[in-house]
Amino acid sequence: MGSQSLINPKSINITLDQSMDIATITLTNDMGDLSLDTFIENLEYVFKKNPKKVILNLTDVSKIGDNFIILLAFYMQRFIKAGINVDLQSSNQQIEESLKNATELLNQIKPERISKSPLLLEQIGDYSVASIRSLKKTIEFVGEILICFLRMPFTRSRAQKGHLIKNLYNVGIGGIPIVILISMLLGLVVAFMTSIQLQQFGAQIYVASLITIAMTKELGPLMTGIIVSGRSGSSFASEIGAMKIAEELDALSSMGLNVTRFIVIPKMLSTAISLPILSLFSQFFGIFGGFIVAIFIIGLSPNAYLTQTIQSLNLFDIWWGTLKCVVFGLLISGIGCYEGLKVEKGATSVGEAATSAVVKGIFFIILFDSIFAIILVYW
Amino acid sequence: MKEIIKVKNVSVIFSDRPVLENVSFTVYEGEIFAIIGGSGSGKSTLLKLMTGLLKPTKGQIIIDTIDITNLDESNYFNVIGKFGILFQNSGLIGSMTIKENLMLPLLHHTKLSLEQIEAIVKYKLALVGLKNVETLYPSELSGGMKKRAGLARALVLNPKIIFLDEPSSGLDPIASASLDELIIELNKVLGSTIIVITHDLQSIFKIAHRAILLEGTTKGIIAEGDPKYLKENSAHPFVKAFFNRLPSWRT
Repeated sequence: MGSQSLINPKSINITLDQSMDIATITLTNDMGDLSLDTFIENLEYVFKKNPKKVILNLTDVSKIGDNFIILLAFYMQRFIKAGINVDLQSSNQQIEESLKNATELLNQIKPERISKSPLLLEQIGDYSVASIRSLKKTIEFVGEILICFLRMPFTRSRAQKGHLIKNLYNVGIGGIPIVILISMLLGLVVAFMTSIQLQQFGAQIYVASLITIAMTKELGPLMTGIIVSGRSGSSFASEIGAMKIAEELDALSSMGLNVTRFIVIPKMLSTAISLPILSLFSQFFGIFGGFIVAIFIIGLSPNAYLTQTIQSLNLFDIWWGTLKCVVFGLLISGIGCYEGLKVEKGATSVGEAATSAVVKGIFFIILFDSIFAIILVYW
Repeated sequence: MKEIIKVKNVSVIFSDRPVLENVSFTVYEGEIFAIIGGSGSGKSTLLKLMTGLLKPTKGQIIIDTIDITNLDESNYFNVIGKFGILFQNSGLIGSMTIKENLMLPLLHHTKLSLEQIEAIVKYKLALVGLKNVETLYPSELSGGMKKRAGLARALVLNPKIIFLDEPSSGLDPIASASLDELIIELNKVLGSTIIVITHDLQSIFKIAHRAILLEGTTKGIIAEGDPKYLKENSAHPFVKAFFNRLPSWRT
């Protein structure tokens, strides 16, 4: 009888009779090195030859991996569906039973239903409900913070103290180097760019006024806010989110410690205290950056630059900047903590919380900066 | 019996603090091998060494005739591919559903069709006694279910060697007993070598063919053999105390 044998004769042997009508698949006991891929390639080959009958010879097999069983069941079903007769030859009852179980399991798998995308109206409805719910949550959060702040003078917990100091260190001291670096670079760039324009009028001395006013009124507080939002807002969100996943927040509540008071308030307070101070650093070093450009590139005398700077300095601007910073600090830390508390499950949602803390933080900083600007104009 | 894992004179030192000193033992193909010992005796370090996640300060670890202590990356994955590992905290990826978690190794290592993969995933979940959890995320499962899903993922490629890190911790007695049955069954049916790290004495006596007992002060193995035999016959006070669940052996 003419027949042809295929790959991997050690563990699987396939023969087709000459008329291509009957395919015999023989498995041997030693299947240890047969990969799933080779196995299905072989079965797929038989299927493509489209024989009338398949003889599945398992008489030599006493031990077979369950992945092979499932794939065998899968192809047996496929053969039967294609109108090919399957003749199972086996001497091991356990294997036969496993095959039967696997076939049953395969029958349970229903083709996945394609979910219809909801109607536009439904989507609007869902979105509205979600928005209202989230608004309610936000109001609750803000309310709780307000209550905690109002109660703060009357309730003191020793447990809270260390937290405030640690947070002050992280947000304030930890932020100093990056705030100094970025503000100085900002001062350098602004001074350099404006000097080119002012040169046309011979008014380079006004670089000093420009830098001073810009840094104290706008850029100092704004840049500090953005840096702290990126540095600390995201860290608050991820820290609280990770705590929530690890059930640390539940543990705190169970010990009678209010999460808002114990975790959120120290973070908000420390940010509200640190941010104005960081902003002063930013203002000083921004002006210093301008000073360097003025002396070494524009060629102004240090004396003239300093005199001009002092003339442009306005105490009100610095106070106003400080006030803005306090508000920014509360916004950044509040949003960071809120996003952290919203975390529900998994590492991904911690990442999402951190992202959303920074994006929302920066948005609200700029929004409130505009509001402050409008107040100042109409005051 | 064929040697499948051979640990040869391995020492591990974490910044001047030795954790393991001169540890040697052999695991044979097809056995259930238990690594036991008190907290801080270096069990988890040993697991990390055998799975190549940690390199020893000194010594060799030979898996299937390949020394894994100095392998390049591609060879490393070839060897590691033979393993199934159940981590202590299940190690499921939190951003993927249970089904996606189980599909991951099959998608990456085989050319099976999605339909076939789905069948295998469903089968493995049924094998560990989980039903209707495919679309859930790990965070939506209980501790015991997570553990079983983690085990299902470790089994998905029918690995030759299965490492189980504290499989019964956090499970109720029934679940942990059925997990023991499952481990014995897997060992019998698939012929996989299973290495278990555990504290659970009952489960050790039930499943382990051989065990090594690590001890923190000697930083090495103080007993090796069939746990039932060790329990009855060991003269070492720590071994006796450990297997008979007695309070501290030091006086």
